[in-house]
Amino acid sequence: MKESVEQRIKESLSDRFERFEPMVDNSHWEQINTQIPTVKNGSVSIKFPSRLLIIMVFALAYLELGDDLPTPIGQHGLSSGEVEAMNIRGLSKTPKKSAPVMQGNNSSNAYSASYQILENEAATYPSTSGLMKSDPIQVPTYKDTQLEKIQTRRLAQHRSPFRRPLIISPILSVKPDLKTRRVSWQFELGLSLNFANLQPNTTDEVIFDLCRDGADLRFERLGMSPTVLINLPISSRLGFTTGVGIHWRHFDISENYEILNEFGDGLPGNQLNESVSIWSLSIAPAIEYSLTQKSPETKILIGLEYEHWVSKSLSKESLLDMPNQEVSMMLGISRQVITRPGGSGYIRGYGYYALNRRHTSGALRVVPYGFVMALGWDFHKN
Amino acid sequence: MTNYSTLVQKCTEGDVRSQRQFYELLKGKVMGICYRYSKTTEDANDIFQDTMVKVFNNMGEALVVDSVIAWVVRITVNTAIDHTRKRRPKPFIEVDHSDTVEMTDKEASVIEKMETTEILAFLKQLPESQMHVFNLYMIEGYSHREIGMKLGIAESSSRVLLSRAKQHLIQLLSTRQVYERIG
Repeated sequence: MKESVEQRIKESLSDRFERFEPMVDNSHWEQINTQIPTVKNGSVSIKFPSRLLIIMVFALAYLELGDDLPTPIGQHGLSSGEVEAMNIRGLSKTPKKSAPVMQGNNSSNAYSASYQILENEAATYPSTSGLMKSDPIQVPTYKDTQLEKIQTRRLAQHRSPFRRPLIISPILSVKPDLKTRRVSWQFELGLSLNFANLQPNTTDEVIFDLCRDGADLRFERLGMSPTVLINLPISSRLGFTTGVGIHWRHFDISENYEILNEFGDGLPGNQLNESVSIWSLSIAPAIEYSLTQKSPETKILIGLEYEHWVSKSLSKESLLDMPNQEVSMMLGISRQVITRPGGSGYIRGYGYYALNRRHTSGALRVVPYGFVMALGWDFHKN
Repeated sequence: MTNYSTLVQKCTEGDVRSQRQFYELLKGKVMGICYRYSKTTEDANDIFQDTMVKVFNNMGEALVVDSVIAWVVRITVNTAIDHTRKRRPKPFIEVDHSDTVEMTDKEASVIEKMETTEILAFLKQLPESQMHVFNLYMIEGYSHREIGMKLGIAESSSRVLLSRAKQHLIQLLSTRQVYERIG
């Protein structure tokens, strides 16, 4: 009897709600429609919001976040913890001038470096870095260096190790999909936040490489890195990836420095502005391990990247030293945070540690290490 | 009678008009389920959108199912349960055992006379765990074993939650009957 009462109620409720169809606001379809892939001829059409996203993110290519603020020039009395002091003997006519005594403080972060330019064409000068000042190298063309005055220049205090900690880097990558032929391409669009170890006398902020498992058309300040990524699965969780890329980067460097007189007093300073363009080639083999087999996917990645600078431009007065070869080790994790029919959003974090060989000195030097975070959108048909 | 197989086939081919037609046919039914499994209209709307996106995303599965409508209903119910889980990581805790509550003929008659909106209002008064179990057992027709598996709780917990939901309903019905007598 009791069973039949319950059954009766169940049937009553089921019938009632079988027919229950409330009104649905028309705006729902508009929102749902943007997330539904319309597949035509084997390709996925990216609808308006996605296109808008691409435009918006690429518009951000010119933006940067960080504490890269102008620094007063000719500052005196810099504290030991803040100053990245550097003495540079510049544009000397006399080949055997000894390097000037380092001015200011001698903090552990300070750099003691000299910079001599000789009169003859095959001038030699100690490296701009204190770590490699014993590596003289040949400088091919400095014919016009006739200045006699020895100048000592001190970099302004804004060059802290985290001078430019955040860089927005939109990423667009094209990946061949080896698993399904129907969707044969993918876009990946990322926004990278770079936390780099930047030091005086280097431009290491441009060296590190991000999102090595798929970042492929990349803007760093202003730049592109089209890359082909080949993914070879070893097992259901393990995979081997190799990315081969061409990188072009263009960036501006602004150096504030003081000129010190013979007493070590700062005189009104100057600003040295540099525009640098670099072409490079890279290859990045890595092993990927998927921690999850279902969405949202979480992967860890360990790998290497070799990058070779094919060309560069840097003015002769630069206080900076550029690398021309670099090998980076990296360890990272990436996780899908959102999955939609048109693709998936992810967040990535990578730690990296690099060895690079300087263009000017040829010295092998451990320089850049840091952490990279990237937010991205992978356009593909799920 | 709608020919779902043709419609689904076109949807999988990315035909926009067919997708819209499919949506129009099922939107009311899906939203009705969403209302039953949510406390607020906002939640219902969220579940509705997530469900529809999942449905279109997995439309290929609909080509091989016996009933497209049942398939859509199942996705809707699962999405609603997932939605609760996302908001509250442990929504379905184990409960102590209590006596089974049975309803009478008289109460069944009252329920039959109740408006749908009134039953919906009752469901929204229940704690989410009871609301889900009541929906799954009394309306969707799942067994306690199936509910336990869906919600990640013991079969016995499902029974207890259903009894508590029934107790709430009986209280509501008694109040209603009092009002009817007074009226």
